[in-house]
Amino acid sequence: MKKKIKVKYFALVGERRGVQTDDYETEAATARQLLREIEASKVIPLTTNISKAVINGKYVEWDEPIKDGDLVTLLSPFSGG
Amino acid sequence: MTTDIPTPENAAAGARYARHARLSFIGQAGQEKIEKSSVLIIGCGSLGCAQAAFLARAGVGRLTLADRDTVQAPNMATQLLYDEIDLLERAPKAEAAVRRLRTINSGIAIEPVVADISAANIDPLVDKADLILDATDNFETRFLINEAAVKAGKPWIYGGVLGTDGMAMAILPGRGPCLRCLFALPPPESRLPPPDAFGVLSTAAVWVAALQTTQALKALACGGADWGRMHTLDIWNGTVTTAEVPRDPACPCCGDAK
Ligand SMILES: [Zn+2]
Repeated sequence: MKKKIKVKYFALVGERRGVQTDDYETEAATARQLLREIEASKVIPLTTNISKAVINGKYVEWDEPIKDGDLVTLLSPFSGG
Repeated sequence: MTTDIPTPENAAAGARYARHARLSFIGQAGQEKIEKSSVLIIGCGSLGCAQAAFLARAGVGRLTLADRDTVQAPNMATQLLYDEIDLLERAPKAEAAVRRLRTINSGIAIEPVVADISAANIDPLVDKADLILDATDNFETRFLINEAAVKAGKPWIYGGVLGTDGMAMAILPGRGPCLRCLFALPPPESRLPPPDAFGVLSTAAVWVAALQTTQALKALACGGADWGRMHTLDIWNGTVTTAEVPRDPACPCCGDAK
């Protein structure tokens, strides 16, 4: 049973510049599995190093479970100054 | 708080800061704390220029600005303190910024540090500051700031900008997470979004700097800030999202074992 979630990430591809939010369906049990799935499938174009996941407004460890309806942010910290 | 700070002799000093002192959150007592404060700004790029201008105008008693670079053409669009003479002269940014700031407020102490901030020179700079503002462009220096701030027990405010987006978080060692609670190691620069290729919108930088400066003023005037809340700003769409960063008891920098 696939879970319907939203994935927020920083896009660097073509027109997709800046923070994007995409609908996504996954069977991933944890944030780590979700990241691996997205990296393998490339359905969502992650082009930067992902350092942390935020689920529903809280920074989490990578073994945090993914639930239906979650908003998962895959974050690369901004370095520019 | 440092005490060897020149006080403006002109009678207009009270009037000068009236708009801030009138704010119920700051008040006259808070304004006086701001005037007795010392702030270290590390980096004089788009974030540092805006932070320094805000704090000089707010009357922070002592400002120290550190940067190793000189003013270059691409800086002109986003770095608000520099003019074309600075550009022609390839002036060191810290010195050009201080020259400009002294014309904005002659009643405060402002000093430039033209140097690469490293483990060899950061501690004395942090020791004489009440608060550190991050305006660097790399995570290696941010980790140095974090280390020095945790060691000294001083608050510091992280900020980063990219494109039309930015992030900011206030850090107070012992009260909330430090930067290493969030990122155990500096993210490899080669895999971070590159600002050179990607660009920076001036207003995004000023928005990040404004949020950082607000956190700084709250900390200096009221002793509080949004410790450990990461604000992510998207100025193109006009949105802010905030996420809680937990403190990591096993943090290699501020953890319980240290
Ligand atoms: Zn920590």
